[in-house]
Amino acid sequence: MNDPFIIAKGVDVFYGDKQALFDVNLDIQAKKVTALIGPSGCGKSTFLRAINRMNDLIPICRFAGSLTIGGQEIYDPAVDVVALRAQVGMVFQKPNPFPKSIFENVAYGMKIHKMTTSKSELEDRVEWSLKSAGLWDEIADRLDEPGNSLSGGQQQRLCIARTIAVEPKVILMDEPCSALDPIATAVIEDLIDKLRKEFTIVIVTHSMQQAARVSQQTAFFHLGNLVEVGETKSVFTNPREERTQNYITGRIG
Amino acid sequence: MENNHIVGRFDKDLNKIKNRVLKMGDLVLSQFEAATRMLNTPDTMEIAQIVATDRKINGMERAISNRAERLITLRQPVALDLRAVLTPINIANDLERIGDHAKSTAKRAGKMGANAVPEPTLAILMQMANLAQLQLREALNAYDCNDLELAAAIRERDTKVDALNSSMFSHALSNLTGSENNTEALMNAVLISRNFERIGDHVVNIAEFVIHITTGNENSENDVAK
Repeated sequence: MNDPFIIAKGVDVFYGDKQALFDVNLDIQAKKVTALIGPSGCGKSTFLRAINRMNDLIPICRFAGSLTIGGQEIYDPAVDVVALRAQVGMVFQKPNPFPKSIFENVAYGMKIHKMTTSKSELEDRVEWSLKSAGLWDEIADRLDEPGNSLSGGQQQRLCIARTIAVEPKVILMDEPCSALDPIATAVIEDLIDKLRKEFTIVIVTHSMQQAARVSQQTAFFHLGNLVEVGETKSVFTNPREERTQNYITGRIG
Repeated sequence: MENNHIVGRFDKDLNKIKNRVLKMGDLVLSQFEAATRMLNTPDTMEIAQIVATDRKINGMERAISNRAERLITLRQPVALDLRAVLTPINIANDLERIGDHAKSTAKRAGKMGANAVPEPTLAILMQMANLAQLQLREALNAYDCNDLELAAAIRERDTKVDALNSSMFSHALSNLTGSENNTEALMNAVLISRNFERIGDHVVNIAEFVIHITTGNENSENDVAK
């Protein structure tokens, strides 16, 4: 644990007068999975959304502090937010494919970012993305069918394929399995484990077992504070903080 | 640590398992005491009773394991809770082994018959038995009350049981050559002493599990009775 890729220093986030995050200092390791856990309203999703400036879309939201990715301050006014979000992709709770074909869902980002120069390059890239997302074998002969014709688990993997197609450095996942059945969840968890070889992944999950299974680092948030961060195996076996112990064992919610 | 879970049923089920372990512990302790009495006054009926009760103890161990497994399956506990559910399985296992040693002691005492063990030898065995019984009683208390200091003291005190076992060995060795009549009795005394020494080790394991629930620390230094 000596190679932080995302570094948050003194991060405060406000929604109007209400402060949602208090002085969060968190190092996120490169090419590892970091799980953010905590009860509803603890600030974990706010922190996740701060990493690709999704909170900018909320007019009353205000950010203070420093957040760097690969050494670059992402709240620098000169930063191109669209380019940032290509670098820091996001997978949401509910699969949200575009109302387009499977192929177009994956190709869309590459087209708008003008990442490919030829049709064959685009096709290769779509195939690579779908293979990386573990979906190719199931849909290789159905690329023209609408994305939303797939099952929930397949749609979520399509969204992951769409995210990785633009070659991000970081993938943010906001409860990516909460709308999926246990088998589809297991497939996604397995995929996360493969993706971490190439991407830095930050995942918000309400399933503590999932956090324990998929992540190498876990950060516990409570009432807007980062209470504890550490190696997942020690956070779930022998947490340092009493509040963490109380949360993971179901004594506080 | 706040005391109660949001899922109250977890605490209730865990307490039930803990009570079963304590009940099993009381029975094992009374077996151990009965087996020790057989050294002075062997009684065929009582030895048969000790053997029969040992089967009951084995059944109690299985019941504790089954209930702990069920609780793990239903609640998927983590951290301190996981250790609190795993510990009954481990403690019950050590108690079952203590029961085996008690049974073995009683059977051996029965074979030897009354007045077989010379007085100085018996004195050492009784001293060991009393100390090991005290240790077991306190280990069960430490588990009941989650008393880490008591558990740590038990771990330290086991060296006295070990020392008595060594002195029994030297005592037997020096007496074996002198007296032909006592050879068998001395051999049996050494084997019983060995039983008591093993019981002491199992008690240490129990004490270490009590510490482990709260601290989560590895404690391998005394894992001798595995």
